[in-house]
Amino acid sequence: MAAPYIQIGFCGRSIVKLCNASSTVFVARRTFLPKHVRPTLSAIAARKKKQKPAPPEPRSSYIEWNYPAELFAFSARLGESVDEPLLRRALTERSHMLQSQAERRRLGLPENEADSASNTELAERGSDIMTSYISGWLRSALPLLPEEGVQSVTSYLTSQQELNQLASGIGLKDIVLSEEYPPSEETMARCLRAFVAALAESSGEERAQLFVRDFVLARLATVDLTAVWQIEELLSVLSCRAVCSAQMSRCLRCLMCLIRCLFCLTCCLFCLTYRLFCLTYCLFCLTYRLFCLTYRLFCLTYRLFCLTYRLFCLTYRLFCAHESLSVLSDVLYLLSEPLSVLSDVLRRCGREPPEPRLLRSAGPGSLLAAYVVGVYSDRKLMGYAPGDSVSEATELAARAALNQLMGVSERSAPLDIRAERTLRHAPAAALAEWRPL
Amino acid sequence: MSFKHLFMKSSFVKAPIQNGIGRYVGQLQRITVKFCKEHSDSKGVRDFIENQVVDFAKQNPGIVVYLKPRRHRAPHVKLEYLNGETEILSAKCLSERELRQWLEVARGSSGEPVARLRKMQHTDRPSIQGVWTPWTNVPPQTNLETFPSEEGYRAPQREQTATEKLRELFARQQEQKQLTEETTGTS
Repeated sequence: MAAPYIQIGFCGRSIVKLCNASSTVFVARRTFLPKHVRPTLSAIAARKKKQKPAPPEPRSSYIEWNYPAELFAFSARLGESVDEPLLRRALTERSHMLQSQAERRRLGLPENEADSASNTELAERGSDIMTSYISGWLRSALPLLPEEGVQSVTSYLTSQQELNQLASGIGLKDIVLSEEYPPSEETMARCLRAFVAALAESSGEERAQLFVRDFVLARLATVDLTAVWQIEELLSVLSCRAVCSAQMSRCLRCLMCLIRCLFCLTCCLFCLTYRLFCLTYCLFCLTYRLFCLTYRLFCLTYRLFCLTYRLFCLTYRLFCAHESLSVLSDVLYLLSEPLSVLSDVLRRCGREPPEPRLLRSAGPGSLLAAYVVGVYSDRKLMGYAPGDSVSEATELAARAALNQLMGVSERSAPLDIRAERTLRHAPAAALAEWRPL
Repeated sequence: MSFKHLFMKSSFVKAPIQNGIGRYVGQLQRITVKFCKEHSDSKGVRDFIENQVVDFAKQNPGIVVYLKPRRHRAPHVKLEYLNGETEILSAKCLSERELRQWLEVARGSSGEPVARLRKMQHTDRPSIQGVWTPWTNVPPQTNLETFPSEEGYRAPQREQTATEKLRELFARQQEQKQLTEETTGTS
């Protein structure tokens, strides 16, 4: 702690001018601080500023930390009761287990059974419980949704990112036993899955399912189901494409790299010749007009070459940025697909193919053009949507029609999470065999 | 709360992890009571510890309570929430009752920094009607119209304005007046 500053009004280093209405008074001010304090403090501050910011300190490193109390409070907060050793195991990461084992070996202590357990198996079991419950629940809550939709919503809800948010929301971050701090997304998600399994083991599978319903399924309240499905599908297509084209793109990239190197080499040679020419030109400038002409021609060629080289470089960079351009076309195909999907579905149900019709339009050809397109089948309106252009509106209308058939349109009532539901474990119809009508 | 709170951030109503839709989770996760065993500043905190802290911990099993005596320092209560926020409550010269009341405030709080709420309600789905189009609120009888329709192409009929009404009233009054004058004149 710095010594308290004392200010006294006589004799000193600094002089402060106090302005009064009537007169000017000079007051001398002095702080009885040793001379070395200020430079020392400023030097310390400068050094601190130079250093990297300190890594975040785990809460468990504080003096006021009682791990059993924290574990008890964690289960009590969620309204559950879990056996403490089981809970401890669910929160022990493999990295922490290995670390503590190494520490014991170093200290020459005997192997402890409690120290040789990590949450890997529990996490797998928890993941199974979670996935089967969520998909069963979704099948019974949304009976018209095809299996692909059920799967993608399930995988969205049990994704690492979502589980990480949930885990940090219920206070897992401080009590996870892991080597790293702050714990990564993966660690948090794994611990949450393991907690579900631990809950199932200590208080029965029903309690675990209720936990999943109350915490994981409750996320559905703010999620647009149709958007989730589309996003997941896009991602899956992207990842599939990425795997397929990884090999090809790597080869292509090598080839392009090689060509680039060749270009570079040629460029250097050109440059050298150019310089030599320059020199020669300087020497024989006055006398050799013919040479001059040749030189100019050469210059032109050189510049053209440079331009080509730059263009190539640009293409190469673009190529590197979007590793496979073909992925884009896939996405576009998927976005323009709904009408064909709808026509397939209608054909399977014995209905007439979808017929998009322009219902309303305003300001065609202007910046604020608006069209409303409805999709009809058997003279019945299946769905309608507005759009900037007729093609966009058609596509959105087909999508709206599909959503309505699935029972997840934006007009449908919110899902009741607390309602009694019997789980349906048999998979729903796949999109290729889906008959909603 | 008014717009005069210049230094207060604004925000919308929100609940962490959809709290309350499935199950309610109290957001205060632990408190650390720091106090002095001798100084009179900490009198209220000491009383609270003596009389109420055990009951408080029993009533709120989800909150971990730590007690940390520190010699000759002002008493504080550190409040830690589930969203990672920490708040330090100065308990200097607070009475036992006041401290308990402040803890009750913290117990019900979400841990988000105090902010001016822009609206008292919030929804992630602002409209179930979808995107607004020029035809969103068009009267439905236009659907049954046969074209060309006389009604549709007529200039819009407007109501009589107040001035016109007054003028008409005045004209009628004048007429009546004249009539009464005439009748009295003849009789």
